[in-house]
Amino acid sequence: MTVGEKVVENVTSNGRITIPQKWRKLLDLGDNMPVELELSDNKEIIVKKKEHPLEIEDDLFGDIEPFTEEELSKAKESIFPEQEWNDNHIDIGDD
Amino acid sequence: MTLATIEMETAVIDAQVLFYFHYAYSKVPALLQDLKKKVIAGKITVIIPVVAISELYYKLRKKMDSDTDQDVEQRLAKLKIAIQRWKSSDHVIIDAFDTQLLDLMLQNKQYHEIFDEIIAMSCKRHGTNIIYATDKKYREIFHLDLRSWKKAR
Repeated sequence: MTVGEKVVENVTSNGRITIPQKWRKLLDLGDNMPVELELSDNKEIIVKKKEHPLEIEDDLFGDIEPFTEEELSKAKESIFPEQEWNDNHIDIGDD
Repeated sequence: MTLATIEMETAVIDAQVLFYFHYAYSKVPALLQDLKKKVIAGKITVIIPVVAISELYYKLRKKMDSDTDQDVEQRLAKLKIAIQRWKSSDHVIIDAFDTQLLDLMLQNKQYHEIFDEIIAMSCKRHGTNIIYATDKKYREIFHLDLRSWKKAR
Protein backbone atom coordinates (compact mmCIF):
# COMPACT_ATOMS: atom_id res chain seq x y z
CA MET A 1 0.00 0.00 0.00
CA THR A 2 1.35 3.42 -0.92
CA VAL A 3 0.30 6.96 -0.18
CA GLY A 4 -1.67 8.25 -3.14
CA GLU A 5 -3.23 4.85 -3.83
CA LYS A 6 -6.76 5.13 -5.20
CA VAL A 7 -9.71 2.78 -5.02
CA VAL A 8 -13.12 2.91 -6.68
CA GLU A 9 -16.16 2.32 -4.51
CA ASN A 10 -19.84 2.24 -5.42
CA VAL A 11 -22.08 4.57 -3.45
CA THR A 12 -25.06 2.71 -1.98
CA SER A 13 -28.64 3.97 -2.18
CA ASN A 14 -28.32 5.64 1.22
CA GLY A 15 -25.00 7.29 0.38
CA ARG A 16 -22.64 4.91 2.12
CA ILE A 17 -19.21 3.99 0.89
CA THR A 18 -16.67 1.62 2.37
CA ILE A 19 -13.25 2.75 3.51
CA PRO A 20 -10.83 -0.11 2.75
CA GLN A 21 -9.96 -2.09 5.85
CA LYS A 22 -6.22 -1.63 5.29
CA TRP A 23 -6.65 2.13 5.28
CA ARG A 24 -8.76 2.03 8.44
CA LYS A 25 -6.06 -0.04 10.10
CA LEU A 26 -3.34 2.31 8.91
CA LEU A 27 -5.14 5.35 10.34
CA ASP A 28 -6.25 3.50 13.49
CA LEU A 29 -9.82 4.29 12.51
CA GLY A 30 -12.01 2.16 14.74
CA ASP A 31 -15.76 1.55 14.84
CA ASN A 32 -17.88 4.68 15.27
CA MET A 33 -14.90 7.03 15.12
CA PRO A 34 -15.81 10.28 13.36
CA VAL A 35 -14.48 11.34 9.98
CA GLU A 36 -14.80 14.75 8.40
CA LEU A 37 -16.24 15.07 4.89
CA GLU A 38 -15.23 18.16 2.98
CA LEU A 39 -16.89 19.06 -0.28
CA SER A 40 -14.66 20.77 -2.79
CA ASP A 41 -15.74 22.43 -6.00
CA ASN A 42 -13.95 20.08 -8.37
CA LYS A 43 -15.99 16.90 -7.89
CA GLU A 44 -13.98 15.90 -4.85
CA ILE A 45 -15.13 14.79 -1.45
CA ILE A 46 -12.22 14.74 0.96
CA VAL A 47 -12.58 12.29 3.84
CA LYS A 48 -10.35 13.01 6.83
CA LYS A 49 -9.99 11.23 10.12
CA LYS A 50 -11.23 13.76 12.63
CA GLU A 51 -8.42 14.58 15.02
CA HIS A 52 -9.43 14.38 18.64
CA PRO A 53 -8.07 17.40 20.52
CA LEU A 54 -6.40 15.05 23.02
CA GLU A 55 -4.39 13.57 20.14
CA ILE A 56 -2.44 16.80 19.81
CA GLU A 57 0.92 15.90 21.33
CA ASP A 58 2.50 19.33 21.55
CA ASP A 59 3.72 18.92 25.10
CA LEU A 60 1.52 21.83 26.14
CA PHE A 61 2.42 21.58 29.84
CA GLY A 62 5.83 20.05 29.17
CA ASP A 63 7.85 22.74 30.96
CA ILE A 64 5.66 22.63 34.08
CA GLU A 65 5.96 19.91 36.70
CA PRO A 66 2.91 17.83 37.71
CA PHE A 67 1.13 18.68 40.97
CA THR A 68 2.92 17.79 44.19
CA GLU A 69 0.76 16.49 47.06
CA GLU A 70 1.27 19.85 48.79
CA GLU A 71 0.15 21.78 45.72
CA LEU A 72 -3.00 19.71 45.39
CA SER A 73 -3.78 20.26 49.04
CA LYS A 74 -3.20 24.02 48.79
CA ALA A 75 -5.25 24.25 45.61
CA LYS A 76 -8.20 22.58 47.35
CA GLU A 77 -7.87 24.91 50.32
CA SER A 78 -7.79 27.94 48.04
CA ILE A 79 -11.24 26.95 46.74
CA PHE A 80 -12.77 25.86 50.03
CA PRO A 81 -10.60 26.85 53.01
CA GLU A 82 -10.15 24.21 55.68
CA GLN A 83 -13.21 23.81 57.83
CA GLU A 84 -14.52 21.74 60.68
CA TRP A 85 -16.00 18.55 59.34
CA ASN A 86 -16.88 15.21 60.86
CA ASP A 87 -15.82 11.71 59.93
CA ASN A 88 -19.23 10.40 59.03
CA HIS A 89 -19.42 8.64 55.73
CA ILE A 90 -21.57 9.56 52.79
CA ASP A 91 -23.29 6.83 50.88
CA ILE A 92 -23.57 8.06 47.30
CA GLY A 93 -25.31 4.90 46.11
CA ASP A 94 -28.99 4.61 45.35
CA ASP A 95 -31.38 4.98 48.23
CA MET B 1 -29.26 -11.32 15.04
CA THR B 2 -29.64 -9.27 18.18
CA LEU B 3 -27.46 -6.25 18.68
CA ALA B 4 -26.30 -5.98 22.25
CA THR B 5 -26.40 -2.55 23.84
CA ILE B 6 -22.94 -1.55 24.87
CA GLU B 7 -22.87 0.89 27.74
CA MET B 8 -19.94 3.23 27.51
CA GLU B 9 -17.81 3.57 30.60
CA THR B 10 -17.85 6.96 32.29
CA ALA B 11 -15.31 8.22 34.80
CA VAL B 12 -14.61 11.40 36.74
CA ILE B 13 -11.03 12.66 36.65
CA ASP B 14 -9.07 14.91 38.98
CA ALA B 15 -6.78 17.88 38.32
CA GLN B 16 -3.62 15.79 38.05
CA VAL B 17 -5.18 13.69 35.28
CA LEU B 18 -6.14 16.88 33.47
CA PHE B 19 -2.53 18.00 33.73
CA TYR B 20 -1.20 14.68 32.45
CA PHE B 21 -3.51 14.86 29.41
CA HIS B 22 -1.21 17.59 28.07
CA TYR B 23 2.13 16.53 29.52
CA ALA B 24 5.03 14.82 27.72
CA TYR B 25 3.45 11.48 26.79
CA SER B 26 6.49 9.38 27.74
CA LYS B 27 6.35 10.78 31.30
CA VAL B 28 2.66 10.05 31.76
CA PRO B 29 1.81 7.04 33.98
CA ALA B 30 0.77 4.00 31.93
CA LEU B 31 -2.73 3.95 33.43
CA LEU B 32 -3.34 7.50 32.25
CA GLN B 33 -1.78 6.89 28.83
CA ASP B 34 -4.32 4.10 28.46
CA LEU B 35 -7.15 6.33 29.69
CA LYS B 36 -6.27 8.99 27.14
CA LYS B 37 -6.23 6.39 24.34
CA LYS B 38 -9.66 5.17 25.42
CA VAL B 39 -11.10 8.71 25.40
CA ILE B 40 -9.71 9.34 21.91
CA ALA B 41 -11.11 6.03 20.68
CA GLY B 42 -14.50 6.82 22.22
CA LYS B 43 -14.39 3.88 24.59
CA ILE B 44 -14.82 5.97 27.73
CA THR B 45 -16.28 9.38 28.55
CA VAL B 46 -14.44 11.46 31.13
CA ILE B 47 -16.13 13.99 33.37
CA ILE B 48 -14.08 17.03 34.32
CA PRO B 49 -15.46 18.80 37.39
CA VAL B 50 -15.01 22.56 37.14
CA VAL B 51 -13.46 22.52 40.61
CA ALA B 52 -10.67 20.31 39.21
CA ILE B 53 -10.02 22.88 36.48
CA SER B 54 -9.94 25.51 39.24
CA GLU B 55 -7.14 23.58 40.97
CA LEU B 56 -5.13 23.61 37.77
CA TYR B 57 -5.87 27.32 37.43
CA TYR B 58 -4.55 27.84 40.97
CA LYS B 59 -1.33 25.98 40.15
CA LEU B 60 -0.67 27.81 36.90
CA ARG B 61 -1.47 31.32 38.06
CA LYS B 62 0.57 31.02 41.25
CA LYS B 63 3.56 33.32 40.98
CA MET B 64 6.80 31.80 42.22
CA ASP B 65 9.71 34.01 43.33
CA SER B 66 11.53 33.32 40.09
CA ASP B 67 8.47 34.02 37.92
CA THR B 68 7.86 37.15 35.90
CA ASP B 69 4.34 38.33 35.13
CA GLN B 70 4.96 37.11 31.61
CA ASP B 71 5.69 33.58 32.89
CA VAL B 72 2.31 33.48 34.61
CA GLU B 73 0.56 34.89 31.55
CA GLN B 74 2.18 32.21 29.38
CA ARG B 75 1.05 29.44 31.72
CA LEU B 76 -2.51 30.77 31.78
CA ALA B 77 -2.48 31.02 27.99
CA LYS B 78 -1.68 27.28 27.96
CA LEU B 79 -4.60 26.61 30.28
CA LYS B 80 -6.91 28.51 27.91
CA ILE B 81 -5.74 26.27 25.06
CA ALA B 82 -6.29 23.18 27.19
CA ILE B 83 -9.82 24.28 28.19
CA GLN B 84 -10.64 24.93 24.54
CA ARG B 85 -9.48 21.42 23.68
CA TRP B 86 -11.62 19.85 26.42
CA LYS B 87 -14.64 21.87 25.30
CA SER B 88 -14.26 20.67 21.72
CA SER B 89 -13.45 17.05 22.56
CA ASP B 90 -15.86 14.19 22.00
CA HIS B 91 -16.26 12.03 25.10
CA VAL B 92 -15.13 14.83 27.43
CA ILE B 93 -17.73 16.58 29.58
CA ILE B 94 -16.99 19.61 31.70
CA ASP B 95 -19.21 19.30 34.76
CA ALA B 96 -20.34 22.53 36.38
CA PHE B 97 -20.76 23.07 40.08
CA ASP B 98 -24.37 24.16 39.92
CA THR B 99 -27.69 24.00 41.76
CA GLN B 100 -28.37 20.44 40.59
CA LEU B 101 -25.14 19.35 42.23
CA LEU B 102 -26.07 21.32 45.34
CA ASP B 103 -29.41 19.51 45.42
CA LEU B 104 -27.54 16.20 45.41
CA MET B 105 -25.29 17.43 48.21
CA LEU B 106 -28.32 18.45 50.25
CA GLN B 107 -29.61 14.88 50.09
CA ASN B 108 -26.55 13.68 51.99
CA LYS B 109 -27.08 13.07 55.67
CA GLN B 110 -23.45 13.52 56.61
CA TYR B 111 -20.86 15.78 55.17
CA HIS B 112 -17.18 15.92 54.43
CA GLU B 113 -14.85 18.41 52.85
CA ILE B 114 -16.92 20.33 50.33
CA PHE B 115 -14.38 19.83 47.58
CA ASP B 116 -14.42 16.03 47.90
CA GLU B 117 -18.19 16.01 48.18
CA ILE B 118 -18.53 17.94 44.93
CA ILE B 119 -16.32 15.41 43.15
CA ALA B 120 -18.35 12.52 44.61
CA MET B 121 -21.62 14.17 43.59
CA SER B 122 -20.27 14.63 40.05
CA CYS B 123 -19.84 10.86 39.99
CA LYS B 124 -23.39 10.40 41.24
CA ARG B 125 -24.87 12.85 38.73
CA HIS B 126 -23.27 10.96 35.84
CA GLY B 127 -24.17 7.54 37.20
CA THR B 128 -20.62 6.31 37.68
CA ASN B 129 -18.50 5.38 40.66
CA ILE B 130 -15.22 5.38 38.74
CA ILE B 131 -12.71 8.09 39.54
CA TYR B 132 -9.18 8.50 38.25
CA ALA B 133 -7.22 10.11 41.09
CA THR B 134 -4.78 9.13 43.82
CA ASP B 135 -6.59 10.28 46.97
CA LYS B 136 -7.60 7.17 48.91
CA LYS B 137 -10.43 9.13 50.55
CA TYR B 138 -12.49 8.69 47.42
CA ARG B 139 -12.46 4.93 47.99
CA GLU B 140 -12.45 4.83 51.78
CA ILE B 141 -15.04 7.51 52.50
CA PHE B 142 -17.12 7.81 49.35
CA HIS B 143 -16.87 4.14 48.31
CA LEU B 144 -15.83 5.07 44.78
CA ASP B 145 -13.90 2.80 42.43
CA LEU B 146 -10.57 4.60 42.67
CA ARG B 147 -8.31 4.10 39.64
CA SER B 148 -4.98 5.27 41.00
CA TRP B 149 -1.65 5.20 39.18
CA LYS B 150 0.27 5.28 42.45
CA LYS B 151 1.29 2.01 44.03
CA ALA B 152 -0.39 1.24 47.35
CA ARG B 153 1.95 1.79 50.27
